[in-house]
Amino acid sequence: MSGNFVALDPAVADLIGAGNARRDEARQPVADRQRKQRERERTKARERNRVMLDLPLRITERLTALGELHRVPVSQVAGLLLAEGLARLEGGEIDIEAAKRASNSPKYDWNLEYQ
Amino acid sequence: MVVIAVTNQKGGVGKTTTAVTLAHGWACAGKRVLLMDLDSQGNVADSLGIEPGHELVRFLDPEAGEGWQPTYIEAGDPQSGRENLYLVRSDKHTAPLKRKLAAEPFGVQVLGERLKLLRRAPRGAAFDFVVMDCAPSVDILHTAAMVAADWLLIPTRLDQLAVKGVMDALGTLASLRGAGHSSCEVAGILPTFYDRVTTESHDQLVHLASQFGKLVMPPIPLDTQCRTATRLGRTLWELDPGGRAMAGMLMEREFVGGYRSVMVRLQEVCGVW
Repeated sequence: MSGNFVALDPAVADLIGAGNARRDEARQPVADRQRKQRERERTKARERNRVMLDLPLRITERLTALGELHRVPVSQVAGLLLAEGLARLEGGEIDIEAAKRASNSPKYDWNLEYQ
Repeated sequence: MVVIAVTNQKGGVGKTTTAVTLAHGWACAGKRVLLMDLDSQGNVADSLGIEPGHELVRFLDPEAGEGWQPTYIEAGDPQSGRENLYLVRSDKHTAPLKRKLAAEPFGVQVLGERLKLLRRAPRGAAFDFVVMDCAPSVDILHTAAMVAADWLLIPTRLDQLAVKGVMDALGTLASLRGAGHSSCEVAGILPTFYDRVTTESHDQLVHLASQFGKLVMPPIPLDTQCRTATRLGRTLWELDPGGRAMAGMLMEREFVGGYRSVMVRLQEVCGVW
């Protein structure tokens, strides 16, 4: 890409950036490439437990409040409640089908409605 | 009713797959969709695994005049075998039709005139989308599609010749708009068969993006299921709705590209929903 700024779709810009980074790395000495690969694997191992979710504000506020009330990390509050919820789902106490609503978005077939 | 022409003057870039996938996707979402095959090779019928046909000849017959009515489209089940997806098929009978239209003084406008009549269809019979799969050649139907469409979507492989096809398509559209024959706008340029590992794919994406900026959409990844779907006469929605061509490539923690995101992007660009 030249020095002139060209506005791009953000995803296209990311793809081009990733491609350029791969190319630059391929030109480096073997030892440097292996070091970078090890760094990536360490980062991936740390991030394996990290997810980003879109949640309604009312839920994130309640989770934060619970974390402050019990003086525990918010992630652990969320983890506990998710683990309990999963157990109830797998035990048949929660009917995920009943919460499904048709989605207008072509990306997803359904949306889930919950309180 | 939104009319989208899927075009590139280069063959083998994924026009039919793109047109069929988008049309069926919108049909699955409950929209009434008319998929028109403007290519005498008749690949739309092949892609859907149905018998060939030539409704296009009746649809565009210039001798039908003011008495033309699209009743055979509105009535009955769509012959695509898919709910909400109606077809105007094409085959070798399109060749004499093109000669007929070329001999007419306003032959290039017949398609637009027919679509105007469809726009006036009563609620319940009206189409939400018309998707036109254009032939990879500059002929009267190719020009007619650019005259009649609201939006142009240009799939392109990431190679030199296909990118040249993009330039040619945009040049043709610019000429038509400049002469006041078309108000069609470019919805996007859609890179197809994208392989993020190969240098050529990367270089051509960079080149395309540097030329056309935000018009370049996130690409459709290379996915052998596209060929399999055509061979089996099934759409990607039926064969592999979660596959690479549909869902895109995983980058960091989200999926990029793929036909599902193309539909979302077109929804925003065309102002529907």
